[in-house]
Amino acid sequence: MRAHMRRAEESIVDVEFCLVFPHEALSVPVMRRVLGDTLRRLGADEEGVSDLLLAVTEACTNVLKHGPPGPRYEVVARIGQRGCLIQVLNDERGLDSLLVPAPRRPMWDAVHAPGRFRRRAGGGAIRRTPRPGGRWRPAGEPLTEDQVIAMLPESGRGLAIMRACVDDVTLSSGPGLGTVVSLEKRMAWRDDAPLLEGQLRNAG
Amino acid sequence: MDLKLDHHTRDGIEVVDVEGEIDVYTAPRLRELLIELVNNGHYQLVVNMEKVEFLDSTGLGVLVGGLKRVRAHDGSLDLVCTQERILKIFRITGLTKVFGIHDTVDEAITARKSEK
Repeated sequence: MRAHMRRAEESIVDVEFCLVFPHEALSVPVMRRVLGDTLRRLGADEEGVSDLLLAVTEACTNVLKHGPPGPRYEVVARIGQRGCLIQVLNDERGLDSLLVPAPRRPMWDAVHAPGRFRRRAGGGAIRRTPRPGGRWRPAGEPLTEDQVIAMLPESGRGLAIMRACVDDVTLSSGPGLGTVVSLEKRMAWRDDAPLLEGQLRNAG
Repeated sequence: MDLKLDHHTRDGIEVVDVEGEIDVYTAPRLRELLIELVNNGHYQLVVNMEKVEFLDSTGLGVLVGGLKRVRAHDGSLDLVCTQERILKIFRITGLTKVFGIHDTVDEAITARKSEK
């Protein structure tokens, strides 16, 4: 890990570091420890830290699960008073899984119960399912709870979680360029946050 | 903090106590435990997540997989969780409608018993 502490006049980034990991699952909790400890020590608000760590975890996990078996991937963190930019970089293709459609939300329309749905959802909700040709038709019966559960995917929720936890998610990918997931988040700081006291800026 | 797993039977329901972080590194162990319990005939499960410090989409996938397994045997998988930062992940992904989520293990067991 190499860390830079920059002068205020150079950049709004106060702390910048890059973690380089092998494609091993252990890298993910290690990343959380390094990034989380750094942000907490600088005085970041705990809820923001928690959300950011979840989003970065999802980005790293995607590299591990779906990226190529390249030797390494990188997590680049830039932290300033205004917020964080975290980029997860991988060598080759790897975004495909993120572009899988989100969980089929309309399914829930079929079972209209507040909170958790009932075992037998009665009533006349009409489920519309797209035909292969793109036309919509009303389905005969609402889905039962068992049918809904049987259709639930076990993966594919990472992008939704990332989007909910940070202010901006950018996926970029191109032949020979590798893939980059960029996560931007505005951060709140404790009143006594060392980062706000400018200690890092004077250190240079 | 790694992942610590424990389980015991209570009122005919298998209670799984999960402590620590559930992510791509640790989730395989939780998946294996849930599969083992189902293979041993435990189809009524309560997963106590009160001591879970971290949960991500990989962990959600394992819980969904567990739910699908027990439901194939007409069983159930309920959760115990009051931590806002964990509940939020279920809300984001719409899974609060799929799992019964309770405040305590007692409540989860009582609810399951009364549904029978």
